[in-house]
Amino acid sequence: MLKKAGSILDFTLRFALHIGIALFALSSLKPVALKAHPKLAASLWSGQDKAYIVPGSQFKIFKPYLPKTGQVSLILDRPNRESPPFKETSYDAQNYFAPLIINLETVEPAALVYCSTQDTAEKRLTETGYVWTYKIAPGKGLARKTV
Amino acid sequence: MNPKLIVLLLLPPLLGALFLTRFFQQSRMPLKTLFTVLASTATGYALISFGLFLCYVLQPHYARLLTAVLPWFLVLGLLIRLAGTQTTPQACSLKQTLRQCFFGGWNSPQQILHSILSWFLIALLIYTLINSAETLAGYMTWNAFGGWDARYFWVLKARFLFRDPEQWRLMFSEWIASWGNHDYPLMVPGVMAWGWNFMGRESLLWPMIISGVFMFSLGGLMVWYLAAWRSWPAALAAALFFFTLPAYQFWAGTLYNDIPYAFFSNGALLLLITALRQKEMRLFALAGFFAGCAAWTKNEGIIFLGWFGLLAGVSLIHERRISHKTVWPALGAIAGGMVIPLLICLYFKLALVGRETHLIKKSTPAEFWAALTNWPRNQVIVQGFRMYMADYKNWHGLWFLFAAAVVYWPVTRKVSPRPYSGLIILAIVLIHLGYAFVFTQTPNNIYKHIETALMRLLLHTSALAVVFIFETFGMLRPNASISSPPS
Repeated sequence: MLKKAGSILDFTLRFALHIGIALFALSSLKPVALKAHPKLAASLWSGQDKAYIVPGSQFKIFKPYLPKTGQVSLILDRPNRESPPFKETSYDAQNYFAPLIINLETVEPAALVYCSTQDTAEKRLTETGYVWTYKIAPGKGLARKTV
Repeated sequence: MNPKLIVLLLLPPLLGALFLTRFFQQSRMPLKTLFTVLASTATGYALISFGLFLCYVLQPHYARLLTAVLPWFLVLGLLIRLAGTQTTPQACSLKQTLRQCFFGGWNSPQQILHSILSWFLIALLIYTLINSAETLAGYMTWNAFGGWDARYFWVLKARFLFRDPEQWRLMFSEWIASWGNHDYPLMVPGVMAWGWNFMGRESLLWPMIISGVFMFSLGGLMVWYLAAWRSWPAALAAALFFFTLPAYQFWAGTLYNDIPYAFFSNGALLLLITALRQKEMRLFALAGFFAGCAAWTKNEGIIFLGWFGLLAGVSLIHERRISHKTVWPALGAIAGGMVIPLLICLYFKLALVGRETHLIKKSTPAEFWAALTNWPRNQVIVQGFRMYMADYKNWHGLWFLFAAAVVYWPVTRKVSPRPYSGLIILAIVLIHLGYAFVFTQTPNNIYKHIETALMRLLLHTSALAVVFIFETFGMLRPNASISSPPS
């Protein structure tokens, strides 16, 4: 009798726990806050991804002038390698150009210059010991090491 | 929809299902059909990743062509192997347990309530899965490139593999090594590159699909285990709880590799427990294969392999019901299962990477000991674990429930013994101790390291914790013994 009562109590407690967890789970479900935009979803399913801007695609201007593999340095506005904008921009460049290797040290014979203004680019070239070889846009172009 | 994408969606589950079916053909594992259905795609991805790596190492010039045709050859080979072999019936069939669960009979109030609860939970689970898939899809479409590690470590490796198979080893360049974690293994990047090779372009959708598959497969793994060893209501309630956890939804959306790693490591442990209960060599081998896959998914898998080997060895040696004649074949089966993944990992780490990982600095024994006994720092680590585990917003009290289950576990062991379920507790404790040890030796700022890593590391064990909670508190099958599923 006692064993049966224990068994019923055990069943009841476990049953209540399942119901409790189910109701809790239901209550914790929120309406989907960020729904997939139909145009983004269509772009993904089509396999073309045209609705997206690929990170690093700002470096597209350099593509015709670069070999597929090799190593180049990258000269940006900020020389601080630990700053998040520097990291993000240079890592995006690596993603964009791979398998070409982007060296974050300004030591390679050739460098990509990607500065916001012509003046900053000139300043950074002087600091790092490079000279212009080809200007693509104001503050942007290819440079070679002088020393 | 792109027709190539349809093939990409169908080929890995087909390959994985044939591989698992071949593995289970002579096995009496409970609900092996369910396991095959739920884990086939992720298993197919693992096979494809190993195949791709071997093609890239052995024949980089023809790698693109080889990786495209290899899965088809594997499918064909498995079909031929399967054709001539008889299948052993499973210990409890999917059809049988489903019938028992949803149409369990009307003889007692308990049976009626059991069936009503199952129907209620399945309805809620379907609703939750739809909500979860919609949330994940929404998050992913707006964050298509994933989080920091995905963009700059995992996907970058896939780009090297895809863009120039002959030059893929440039990913180990010293300039990338300085920031790009060049020693991260290639399970998921390999699957990404395989899909891109097949489609001929770097589709953004493909990494999202991989991430989603691993997330749902991890949930599927716990459904299989609990349905096989506890009951369907316990399995459904566990899945319901799991799929509402914001931590998993968020990190699946970032395309990080923690959830794929959790799938393989948790799968290895749950298969090991099943193998120990069933005493089947094939299951030991499959558990070993999954453990090897974990090591090929994330560096943490190397630590896991050590813990897995320890738990398997200790369980087997101390198992009185297994004769000594069975212990060594079982250990041999585990080693046999993990041999190919392990050899690939070793070749990758020793021959290709060849540099130290930056997570643990090289130090003298005195420096090592000083770091290990740095009590203020150790206190920060303990506080970190406490804080992140108690984070209600992400875990919904999961770790409190786990603690309650651990406390209640000795009571249930007496009433209804569940052999080897204690391995889950041990595994969780050992895995966390391993991570705590890495934190003690990290050359990085400890606060920053904990902040960026600990929540993700908890993803590796939380699914196991959910399994343990529901194996302890979950409903029993009506009139069923726990340790042996009905035949």
